[in-house]
Amino acid sequence: MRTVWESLPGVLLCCGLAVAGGALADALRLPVPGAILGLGLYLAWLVSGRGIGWSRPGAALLLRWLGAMIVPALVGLGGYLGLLAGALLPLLLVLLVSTLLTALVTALLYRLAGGVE
Amino acid sequence: MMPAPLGMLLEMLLVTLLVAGCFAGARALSVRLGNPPWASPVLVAALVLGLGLAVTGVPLARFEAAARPLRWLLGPALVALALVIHGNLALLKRAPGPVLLAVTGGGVTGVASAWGLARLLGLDRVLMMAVTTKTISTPFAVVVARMGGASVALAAAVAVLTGVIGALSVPWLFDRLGIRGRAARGLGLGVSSHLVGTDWLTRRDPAGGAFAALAMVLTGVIAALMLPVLWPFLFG
Repeated sequence: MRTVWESLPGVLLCCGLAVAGGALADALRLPVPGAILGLGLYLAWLVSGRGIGWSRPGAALLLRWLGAMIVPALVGLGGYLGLLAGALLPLLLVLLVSTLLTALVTALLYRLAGGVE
Repeated sequence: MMPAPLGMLLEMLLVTLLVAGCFAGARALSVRLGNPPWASPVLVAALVLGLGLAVTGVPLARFEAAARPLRWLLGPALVALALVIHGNLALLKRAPGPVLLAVTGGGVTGVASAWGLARLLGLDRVLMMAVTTKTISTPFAVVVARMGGASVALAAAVAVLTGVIGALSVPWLFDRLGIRGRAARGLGLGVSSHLVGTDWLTRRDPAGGAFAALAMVLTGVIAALMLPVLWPFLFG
């Protein structure tokens, strides 16, 4: 029960910032998901270092269950099984080649830019 | 009037607990198997629930309506990801220019190469939209797809699949090419294979995993800012 009370402020803060980010994006007609603006606001608050420690247990709790929040989207895949089965090989090829290329470009750019190891 | 909304609330509660339970079970199973990339807990949980729906004959639309509170929580959870950037801020401050250049360049490569290859191979438009979000971690992909009117289910599936493929293949590629730097490897894995890749690396090399975690969240933020603007040009 204690962990629930510890987590509540952070969970509420993240919910509030997500809603605020959405409202901000709507008001300014920004083509940005509201939650991303909320993330930016929370990061700015964390960096400023002003009394935000109370939010950590709740934010960490949300992150621990992040996977569960993605599951409903994946269950919706049932409606696309035919489409996927018809294009499985080309799709896997696109994913494999593009993923290897992405990793390589990232690592090489870091080296070229003189990043320290 | 009362019974209908109350029934909906109960269904929402039931589905939330069911999904959370399946996810927790799949996570425990993955730990027991030694955390192999292919036993992604989100995939296993979705598979079990999908089979459950098929067997019990519950329509997908009804499940999705009842899963609305859980899907809504994705927004607050994305906000909480600021914690990951903040926790690894020291790595960013050590070499801000190279890290940001590598992550942005890698992210752009991920989007452009997937889009170009998909076009070349003549993939269906719905699938093409889904592969453009493949290089960003699944929660970001879902939010971006929802905003751009793409299929959320396909975006999520392609993102998870990319993570699995990347965790299985990227370390092998780095070994072959002699890329041994901890930062370069971590950033490369984080940008290309997001959560599954980051998890994989963190278990073997926590310091490298920190680079991957930072790269994963930064890529998500950069792509979420970039893709909604870019989509009308790619698919207009």
